[in-house]
Amino acid sequence: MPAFFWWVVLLLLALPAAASNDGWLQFERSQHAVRHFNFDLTYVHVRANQINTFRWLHGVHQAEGAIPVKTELEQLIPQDLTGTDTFRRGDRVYYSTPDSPVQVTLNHYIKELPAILFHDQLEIMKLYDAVPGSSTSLSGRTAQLLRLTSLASSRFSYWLWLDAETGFPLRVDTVDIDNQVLERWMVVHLQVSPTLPAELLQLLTADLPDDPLILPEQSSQTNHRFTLNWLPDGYQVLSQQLPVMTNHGNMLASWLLTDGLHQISVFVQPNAGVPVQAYRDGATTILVQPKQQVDVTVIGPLDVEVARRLAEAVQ
Amino acid sequence: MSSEKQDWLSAASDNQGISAQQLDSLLQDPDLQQQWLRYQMIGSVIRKELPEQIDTDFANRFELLLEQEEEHQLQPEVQIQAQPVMMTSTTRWNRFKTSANKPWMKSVMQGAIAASVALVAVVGVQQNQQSPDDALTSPLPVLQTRPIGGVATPVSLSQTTVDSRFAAQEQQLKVEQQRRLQELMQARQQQIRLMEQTAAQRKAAEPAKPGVEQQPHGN
Repeated sequence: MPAFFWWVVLLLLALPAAASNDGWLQFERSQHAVRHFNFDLTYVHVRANQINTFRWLHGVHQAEGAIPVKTELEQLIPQDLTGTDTFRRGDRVYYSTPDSPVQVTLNHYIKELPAILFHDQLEIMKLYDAVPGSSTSLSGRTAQLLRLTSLASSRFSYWLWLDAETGFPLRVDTVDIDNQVLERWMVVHLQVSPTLPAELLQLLTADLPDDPLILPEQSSQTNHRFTLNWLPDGYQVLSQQLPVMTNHGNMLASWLLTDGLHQISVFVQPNAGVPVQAYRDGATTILVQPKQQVDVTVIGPLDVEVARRLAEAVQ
Repeated sequence: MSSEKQDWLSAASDNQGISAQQLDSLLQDPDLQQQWLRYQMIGSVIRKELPEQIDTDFANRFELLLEQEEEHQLQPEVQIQAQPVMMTSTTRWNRFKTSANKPWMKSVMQGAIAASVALVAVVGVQQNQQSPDDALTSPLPVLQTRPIGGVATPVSLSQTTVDSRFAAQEQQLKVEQQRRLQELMQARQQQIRLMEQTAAQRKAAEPAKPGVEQQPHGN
């Protein structure tokens, strides 16, 4: 009997110690869940002045035959605004807008979903530390908090709440260095089923174009007039630039920077006579900085100060 | 054996009444008992109640068995189990109860209680550390898409009263600027959507085919 008591006491004391080691295991479990479960869920995306609701369906179809081929099927439907319906079949993502043709892209996940849930864990481990927190109740389920704390102060951190039972992510908060919530992604209804959601069966056989459009190479001289002589910590310029189309105003130069998980866009346009402006859209900062004859616009998940420094670096 | 005697015996075996006197004589007289058995047997035969094989010695053999049976001493139960729930773990519980009063057990229990208190304290502290998080999880402050750090110059109210045409112009500029930013946001979205594809295309080193335009898509 006394041995039994001490066992219980020891076990309870050992639990927090054991939990601190398995942060990345929990994270891996949640990344696995969004890739391999059949589910039908609704989430809200909350930013400072807007709330958007989406329905997200996902399923894995296993073809019958000698070699079982698994196809991931996914659909993202905006619930409170008429907009782009997004589908994914395998590594093709389709964007369907009411008044234009379906756009086919090559993507292994839908970019409108939180990238942190899909991105390669090894890359994320280079940028973040995983610290498990307490468990709370979310949407009637028990959720375990997992903090992905940024290793660099200039990068925002993520707080994830994962379903204790399945590991499924129930909430993702993007927080700044002062732990202020900038953006919140939260599941409000979740239904996990053993089989593919019926709506996705149509998508399996739907006749969709398979080949993404071949992108034109950027004419190499456009960026020659301008250079970026400073990059934020951990970021690098994506080797190939995409031509940026705007209906309004010329684009003199543009860069897309990435740290593997986030992207920063830098645009250079002719001066439009506007003062310096800075806005924040959720975790995304938008800075417009006029220089001699041009306006430099920096858009990305960074501090205003870092954005300003980046804008200054355009020569 | 008189016939009157047999008459009442016959009647009694047919479920008629029997007097106390007659019952006494039946119990005392072995002949009458033999006769009683015969009447019962006859009655059973008439009513067709007999089994196929009649074992007339059953009663005798049963008597014999009873004589051979050992004597049993019946005693009232010492302990009444008040709660049926306790039945399963009674023995262990009793053992625990008896040992609970021993000094070593008392010290163990005290230790266990102290450990629980310590545990509660640890958990409590963790909970307390958690409370700033709870403050954050409260509803987000409703912010407008707003200038940060006061770098943007707001349209002054005094200006609108002095020169409304100037204010209108300012407003126009603002709308124009918003539209331009919207466009850039869309361009960025498009960049991100096509990021993987560009990388793949570059890897495949395909010759670029010009002229296929990507239209920016709205939300």
